[in-house]
Amino acid sequence: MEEGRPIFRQLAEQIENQIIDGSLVEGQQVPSINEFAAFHRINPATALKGITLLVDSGVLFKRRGIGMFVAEGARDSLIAARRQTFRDDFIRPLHAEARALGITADELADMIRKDATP
Amino acid sequence: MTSAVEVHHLTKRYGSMNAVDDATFSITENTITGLLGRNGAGKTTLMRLITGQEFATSGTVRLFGATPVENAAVLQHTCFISESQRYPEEFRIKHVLAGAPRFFEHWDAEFAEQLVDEFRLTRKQLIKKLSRGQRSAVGVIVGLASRAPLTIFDEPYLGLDAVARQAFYDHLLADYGKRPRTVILSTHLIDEVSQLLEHALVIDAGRIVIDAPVEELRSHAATVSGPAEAVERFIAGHEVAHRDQLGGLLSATIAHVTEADRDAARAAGLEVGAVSLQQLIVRRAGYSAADAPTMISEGTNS
Amino acid sequence: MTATTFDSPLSQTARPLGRRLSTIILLQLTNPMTLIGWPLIILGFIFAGNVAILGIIATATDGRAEVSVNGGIGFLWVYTLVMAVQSVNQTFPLALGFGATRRDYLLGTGALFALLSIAYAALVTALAALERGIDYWGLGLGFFDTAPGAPLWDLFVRYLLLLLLFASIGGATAAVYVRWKAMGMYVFWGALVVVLIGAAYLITVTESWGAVGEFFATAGVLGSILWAQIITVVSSIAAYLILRRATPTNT
Repeated sequence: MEEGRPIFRQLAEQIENQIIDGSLVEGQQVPSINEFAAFHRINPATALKGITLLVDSGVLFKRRGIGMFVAEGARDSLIAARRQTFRDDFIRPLHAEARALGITADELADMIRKDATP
Repeated sequence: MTSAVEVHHLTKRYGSMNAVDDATFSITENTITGLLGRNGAGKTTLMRLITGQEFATSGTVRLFGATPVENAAVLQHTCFISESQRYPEEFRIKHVLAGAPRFFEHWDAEFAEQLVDEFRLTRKQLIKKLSRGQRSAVGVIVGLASRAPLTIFDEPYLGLDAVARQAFYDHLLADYGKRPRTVILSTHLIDEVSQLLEHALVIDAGRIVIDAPVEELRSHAATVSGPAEAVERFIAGHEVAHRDQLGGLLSATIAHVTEADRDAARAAGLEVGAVSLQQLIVRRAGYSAADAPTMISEGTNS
Repeated sequence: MTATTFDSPLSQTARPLGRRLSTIILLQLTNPMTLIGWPLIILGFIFAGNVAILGIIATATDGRAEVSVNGGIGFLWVYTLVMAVQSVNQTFPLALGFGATRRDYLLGTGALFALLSIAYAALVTALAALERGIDYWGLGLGFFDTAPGAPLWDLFVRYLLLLLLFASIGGATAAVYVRWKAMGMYVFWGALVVVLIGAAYLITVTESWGAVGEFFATAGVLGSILWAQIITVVSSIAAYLILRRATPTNT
């Protein structure tokens, strides 16, 4: 875990990444709060906060007395959300910078395509 | 959420010095709280007041709802592992393991034995012949195996090597996860324990200077640096914990920043950096007396 | 806060007093050598030494001496004082760290030394009876029996009261040390010396040594020991009051 950023958020992101890359599949049980806490050497309350974040956003769901599982459709909704973040974080600033340099949308698209093909 | 410990305007005076100076705070039941501060800041005195080993000059302590002083009903729920705990001359490790269980209702003998092996001790060793680190390990073993509803570790790892300290942290977390209890961990090694803590109490010169959830401290603190003028403009209205100036460059540590603040700072071309808990505490508490002016808020919401 | 909190509410009543006190007693007996093993072993050596010396003398003189009362058993009283000092000094901070109250610690420790005194007095009296039974080892050695001819109950009471006296003096001394450390010791011993010299001076000036001697002669051994119980009571109360406000310092 890196310093300076809330650990519970980092934990939530890690689990999200695992769902997106397929190492955690829908319907699969995720480790318990205590297992997360022990693995990352963090306070269980912090781990609980991270997991609660994912339960509240519908990525994970709880089965009383059994544990927590990856929800159906979690991967798709995570990817959709990440795409939106991608647009906000990268595409919008990209356009802003391009406009400042007088690069048109078409020119920008060309540049991106060129860089994409190795 | 109930409080395991409630402290109100607590002062302990030795001669003309206040070892604990008007402290007011509470510790939530079943949390791991770090009592952080420099050596001599008043950590040990404060914990001794909480467990009724010291008598307060003024103010009150409530431990599980009652005064701890000479109160067997609440003290039976406590275990105080002191960095410098003395043991009887002729005690071997096995004597500590035989004497302790009668004091602690939830004592786990099997766990204690397992920890003895793990810290590479043997039951026959004489306590007085142990090294500093091995003595610390005995304290750690008793503290963990006691499973006391309030367990206090006062600098429990002096002389313990990195492997043994990690073993202590791992066992503390694992066992706390299984059997939540109130743990107070007093230390000046802040970075090492910061991830274990849920709450931080920082004491400096007897005064409580920080009393906040660790995640909050972590997420709300940031260092903003860039051209002095731009940084000054940005930090106006924020509580500045520390500032470093080098020519025209200024770096300021701010205790409370929101996501919007971070974005605004970046938009203004400033660099927003992370602050470790240790840095934050050192900056806010470590120099409060010497560098008092830097503690004064630049803005109105001090 | 955590997901798995399953603790039942904490008990708000203390454990029964008897259990609290036995916890304190057993903590101090955890290593039985300290309070039982060593004193008996050392006493055994002193006794063996006496037997050996008297044996050599008896062989050399080829005769049987009168029963001579030997002061060797006095070791046990002095050692009891030492044990009380050590026990209080060493277990007080540990017991408080383990969550005991001062009151329970003091009552438990008092009970422990009362029990030890009874046990040692009974043991030494039993050995005195044995000594009488086997004609003083055939050597005229009154080691355990310090008052040939006195009834056994008298012997037992003397021993018990002496042990209690020394234990309480030890307890009070340790209490002063635990609470006030070295400075307490200087003041305590200094004051004691002043009081003793003062008393001796007063007795000398008023020419009362004869009266003092007469007092003890009239009181007899048992009577004098009974009078000394004033010291036992005062020491015990002092130890209790001093430690009720003591803070363990672990140094």
